[in-house]
Amino acid sequence: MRIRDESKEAAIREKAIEMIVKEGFDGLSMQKLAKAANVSPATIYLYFKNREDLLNQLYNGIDKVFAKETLKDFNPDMHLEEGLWLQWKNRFAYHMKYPQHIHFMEQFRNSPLINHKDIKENIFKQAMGNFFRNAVKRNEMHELPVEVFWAIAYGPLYTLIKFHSAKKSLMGNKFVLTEERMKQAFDAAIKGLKKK
Amino acid sequence: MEDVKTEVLVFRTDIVGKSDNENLKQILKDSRIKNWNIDQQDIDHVLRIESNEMSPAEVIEMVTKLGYMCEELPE
Repeated sequence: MRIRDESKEAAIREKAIEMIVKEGFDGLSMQKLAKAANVSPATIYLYFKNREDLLNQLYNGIDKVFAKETLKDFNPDMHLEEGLWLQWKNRFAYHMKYPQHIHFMEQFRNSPLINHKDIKENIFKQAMGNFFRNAVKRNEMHELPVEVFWAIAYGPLYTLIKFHSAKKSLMGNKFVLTEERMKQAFDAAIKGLKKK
Repeated sequence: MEDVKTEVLVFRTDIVGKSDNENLKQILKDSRIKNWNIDQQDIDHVLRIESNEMSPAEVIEMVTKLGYMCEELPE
């Protein structure tokens, strides 16, 4: 009798993510993965139907963690400034905690794999949509196209995260993203979004 | 909570194309088999069968009768 073992499954998932981030989707075969995760190929098929199923499950699993971490203490009814600041903090924390996952998600979203029927829409998107609409409805901010909103609301954060991850800025200066620096950028962004 | 899981049997095969798949469909229409699939993207063309009632030997017999290679992947 083959026994399912959650820690084994988690190890297989983490190894697979690592391999894909390092070598791309083509770099992942069940045989290589089995070797890297120190299990037999048969064991992988215990948890995943095939390579396609493995990839989809990896994405859905990562996406679930992403939603859970970024929506921590968050409520779409929050006021713009409070809610957005919490999003900045949560998203930064997520980037620090799961750098591999971020790479994987980007690779996946830039590939046709994202169109698979087994890829689910997550609650995160829904919460963010509601948060945006609430802020407009309450007249807290100018009514902007959602892409423009996103660019102003989150663009600065992701630029700073990029510098932080590279440990330096475009000018080659050493850079570490502290909460104080994050708050400076946030204050400028929120000023641009909010109605007086 | 983990629900009751079906036994998974895993085989290395040389089942490659669509027509092979069709042949297989016929013989795997067995009430003892809950689900089956072949990983076409894998070099071992892994046949995966979910069944609580079949033994690996029975599956191997069924598939090899059709003229395919089929051997159990060791755990």
